[in-house]
Amino acid sequence: MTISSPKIISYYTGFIVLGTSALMIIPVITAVCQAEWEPLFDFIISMGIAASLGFLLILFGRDVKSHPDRVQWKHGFAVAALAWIILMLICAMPYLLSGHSKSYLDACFDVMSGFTTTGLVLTQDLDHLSISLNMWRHMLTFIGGQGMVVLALSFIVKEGSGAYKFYVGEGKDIALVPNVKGTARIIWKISLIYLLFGTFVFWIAGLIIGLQPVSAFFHALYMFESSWSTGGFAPNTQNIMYYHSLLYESVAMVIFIIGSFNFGLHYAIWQGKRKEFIRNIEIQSFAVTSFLGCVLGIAALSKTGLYPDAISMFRRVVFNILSAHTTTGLGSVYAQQFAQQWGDAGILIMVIVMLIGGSACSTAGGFKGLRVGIVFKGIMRDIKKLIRCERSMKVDKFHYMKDIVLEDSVIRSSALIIMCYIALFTIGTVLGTFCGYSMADSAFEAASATGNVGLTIGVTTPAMPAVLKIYYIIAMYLGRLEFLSVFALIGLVIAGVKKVCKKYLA
Amino acid sequence: MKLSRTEWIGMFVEIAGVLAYLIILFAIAFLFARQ
Repeated sequence: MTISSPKIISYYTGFIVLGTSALMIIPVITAVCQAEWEPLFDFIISMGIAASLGFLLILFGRDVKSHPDRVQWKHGFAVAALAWIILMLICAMPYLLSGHSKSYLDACFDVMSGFTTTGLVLTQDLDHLSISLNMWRHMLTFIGGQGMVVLALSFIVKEGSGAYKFYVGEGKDIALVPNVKGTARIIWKISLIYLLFGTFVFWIAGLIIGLQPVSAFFHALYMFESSWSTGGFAPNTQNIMYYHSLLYESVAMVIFIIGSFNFGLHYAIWQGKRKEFIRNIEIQSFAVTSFLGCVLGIAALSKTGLYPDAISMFRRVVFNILSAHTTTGLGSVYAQQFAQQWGDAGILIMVIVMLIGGSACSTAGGFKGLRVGIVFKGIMRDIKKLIRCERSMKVDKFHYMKDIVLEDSVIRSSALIIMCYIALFTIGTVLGTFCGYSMADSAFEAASATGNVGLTIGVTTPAMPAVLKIYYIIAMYLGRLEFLSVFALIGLVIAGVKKVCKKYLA
Repeated sequence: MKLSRTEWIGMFVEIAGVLAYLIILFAIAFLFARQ
């Protein structure tokens, strides 16, 4: 029996959509507990629509149930790419119904920003958002960081039904244990342990700075989810500046740096392989680039006299550069301060670190330290080849959980992905300038969207042109899924259109 | 979701490593601020 690709894709996407509708139960419970009746109905309506759509998709592809072995790589990639689009459209409904989004496009923008752990915001009147909607915003960024498909694999999709193909489709390609469902569960275990620990530490910090216990808990939960997922959302317009606290900012820094690490690295260290922390190419790459970024940033901004003491330098310069590098996007200076006070050198450093980003198979975005490390090692290898004796044969390796031979194909694929990111960033910058923004502002915002960072220089507002909003949604989406899944989905759509054309035109 | 001793130590190592790195960056900020 032949099963068409649309049926396979529809079946598994249906499960992910159904799972997302089930997740809305958390904001529903929050709304009931907090007596927020209007948001409660917003969520019930959205939940009903999501569940209906999920069932319809499963019903359309029900033949797949008896033939789970038909799943191919292209299906895995396409499911991941399509699920993110459908979930964006569904999860935007509570935003729109709340009245805090100017349009459906703005609501979709915020959801994609949350899912991709970017953190750019178009929601209006953030300070007066209901607790349930705030819960939903931060949940989306937390789940997006771990991966919706990973979540679905943990609980819904059966092992052996091509599960690994869905997992890779979402840009997470490291197998922690041979069983992919087990890998997904380990990712969730690490995240949930840190959720308990991080929320507790943030809660204590909140109490110290004078928040009420219940309020401190909600702030702690939101800020943990935002920091760990390298998201950048906050329950207030002022972002992390709302707390006016070095302690709160330091806790956030520790959590977002750890959050930007590869889940494979967490697992290795938790299994007792502590040397991995020093030997891993991604950690080495992050240590070098973030250190250089911070030192250059401090050097450039110390000349201006903006931050006269070490604490303000640490809280403003180091915090923002690390937030940009880990693609978190929590900001401890206002958008306009970047534009007016940081100067060209400061903005250039921010753009570069935003594009580099965090680790592969983590919650972070950007073109990743792994690829930077591989390309750097490739360049060094070629230079050494020129210097070495022609007859000498040496195999170059890099350490990424294990020693891996540095092959040309690995360097080429890393360089290709970096090129794709740079192309996406360049188009965003050019588009920004066409929309009337300055070159520096356009580059900053394009790097922020492409690298899934979320810091803004003032371009991202509800008043910005719709074309720019759409482009940033595409950039966040492509940047997060690392291109391949989206290309697979486009390929399948084109093949399907060709097939239909042939059938009816022949 | 019980953590073994090795896992607790691993978690501590991660946090301690990041804290140490932040202290180094603070020291650099301190040096520049003194100039």
